[in-house]
Amino acid sequence: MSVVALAAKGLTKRFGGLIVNHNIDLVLARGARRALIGPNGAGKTTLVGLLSGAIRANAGTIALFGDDITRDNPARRVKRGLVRTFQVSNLFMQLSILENIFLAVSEQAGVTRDLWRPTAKRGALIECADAIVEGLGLGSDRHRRIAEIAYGRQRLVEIGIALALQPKVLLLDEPAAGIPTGDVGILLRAMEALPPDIAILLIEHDMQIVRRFATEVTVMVQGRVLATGAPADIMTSAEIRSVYLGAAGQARFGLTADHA
Amino acid sequence: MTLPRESILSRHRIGALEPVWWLLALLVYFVFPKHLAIASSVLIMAMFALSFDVVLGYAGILTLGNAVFFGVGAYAAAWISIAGWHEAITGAFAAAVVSALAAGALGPFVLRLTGLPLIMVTLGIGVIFFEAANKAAWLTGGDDGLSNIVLSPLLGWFRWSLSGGTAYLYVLVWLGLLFALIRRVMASPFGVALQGIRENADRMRLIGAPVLRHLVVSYVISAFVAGIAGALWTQTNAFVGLGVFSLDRAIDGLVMLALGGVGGLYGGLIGAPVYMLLKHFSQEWNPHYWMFLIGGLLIFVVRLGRGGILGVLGRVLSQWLGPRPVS
Repeated sequence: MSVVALAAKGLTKRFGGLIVNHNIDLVLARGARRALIGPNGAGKTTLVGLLSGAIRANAGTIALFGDDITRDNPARRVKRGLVRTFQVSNLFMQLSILENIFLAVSEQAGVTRDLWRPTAKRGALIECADAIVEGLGLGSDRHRRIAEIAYGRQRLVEIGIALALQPKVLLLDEPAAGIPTGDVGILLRAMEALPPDIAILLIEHDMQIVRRFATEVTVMVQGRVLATGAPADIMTSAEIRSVYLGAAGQARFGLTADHA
Repeated sequence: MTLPRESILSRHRIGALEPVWWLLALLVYFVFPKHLAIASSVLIMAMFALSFDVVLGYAGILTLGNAVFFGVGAYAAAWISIAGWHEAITGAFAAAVVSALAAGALGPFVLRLTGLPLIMVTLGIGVIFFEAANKAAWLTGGDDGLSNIVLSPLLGWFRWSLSGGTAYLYVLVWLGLLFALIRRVMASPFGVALQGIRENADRMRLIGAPVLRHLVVSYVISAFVAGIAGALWTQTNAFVGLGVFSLDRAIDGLVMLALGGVGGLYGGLIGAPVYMLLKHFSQEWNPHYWMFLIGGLLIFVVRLGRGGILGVLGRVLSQWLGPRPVS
């Protein structure tokens, strides 16, 4: 029996009368490669918000490796190893790529309470940040400010910050959104290079990426979990096709399913 | 790996032009022996502006309340002397510790706020302290202030001369020590984290940073510096009055910093003398309309020359010397 990394039970979130997450159960085993798909407005990003602590749930519990973290604030959840990225880049715009990554590295290393030793003397930490920058193919821009680089490159910095935090469970909210097609390979390679025992929940619309990366798929529709299963089963399920994909989607999906 | 000069990861490096400022400050002692009293007050205001730079320039805290810590330090220094402790250095240090404690008590409540509410609350706290000092005349002397402040000779040797020579060097050494201390702290990973909070506090929380704790620490450091500035104000004037708590002082400090340039630690050191000299000469030029000149210059520097005087100087220098090498 594999170890349960993240377990959410009965998560519910209402905004006024609108129920955006309704009684969601989600279990990720250690090392899971789970994709979360669903049409726009299905509540996927809200679910990531609930799991990461950015949004408070109206009901339900969240456990990380058996510990209840429902009441932990986002910072505590990160310290416990639950890390997320953002659908829209959320970075330190006036700082360089290396400085962005360094902020996460130094927080993870627990040195920010040191008021005395100069940062530049922390060679190992700077090298560690730089290795992440290099690994994402951002080496040529390492000293440029985020505000000066292309949006697709900013998305990679977002991943870099998550990597620097050494997560046990990683929530990737549409990491490929805004990345030029040519750079998606770098992103995928970075994702595939992650330590195998990290549990990953990937929100993604691009089915090519889902197929390549995920071993399990969860489908959300209108705030509920519709189904969870192997990618091939999910993509051939008639019910999911009709509820989620619609006519246009079926055509597109049918095409990709044939390749499988 | 070599970091570029302007990287916030390599702030411990001392720039080529930095010693110039300190040499000029020392030169003032020899060249203007008749103006050392006013020169001391310029240094004290520079120190006060430096305290603003820690919270505003590094941590991004928009506060108008730093005059509270200047005032607390100023009155504490007076009480220490009146209570019978006449040694200046330990007196100033103890007074600043009182300021720092006040910041440690206020910070956890105040620093949960940001933006306009933060400005308003710090403004409110400033007004409350001013009024409290005004009403508690038995403690503060009210409108009359406290004037029977006596200091023993500095280090048991140097007398506090009427010309203010000893006082000037005393203030300059304090400023140098505090500046070195703050430069060191701001170059640490803590200083880097503060700048992360300034850029994007929410994101810092989501990488697991104790944002409020960092902010309170920066607030305490800033209050300590403001407290020393206040204590030196009392010690060099041998007097303290309600003016130390006034909103004008907070605004003066802020204007000096903005004029010099925010976030580089030298902003206050450049802004304070420029502002005070300008004030002096424009008042001489026209005692009624001098504020127009100050206001106009402020708009000009902040609007056209982003980054204050230092920002303009930096751009001129890089134009002149060519672009800075990267990596």
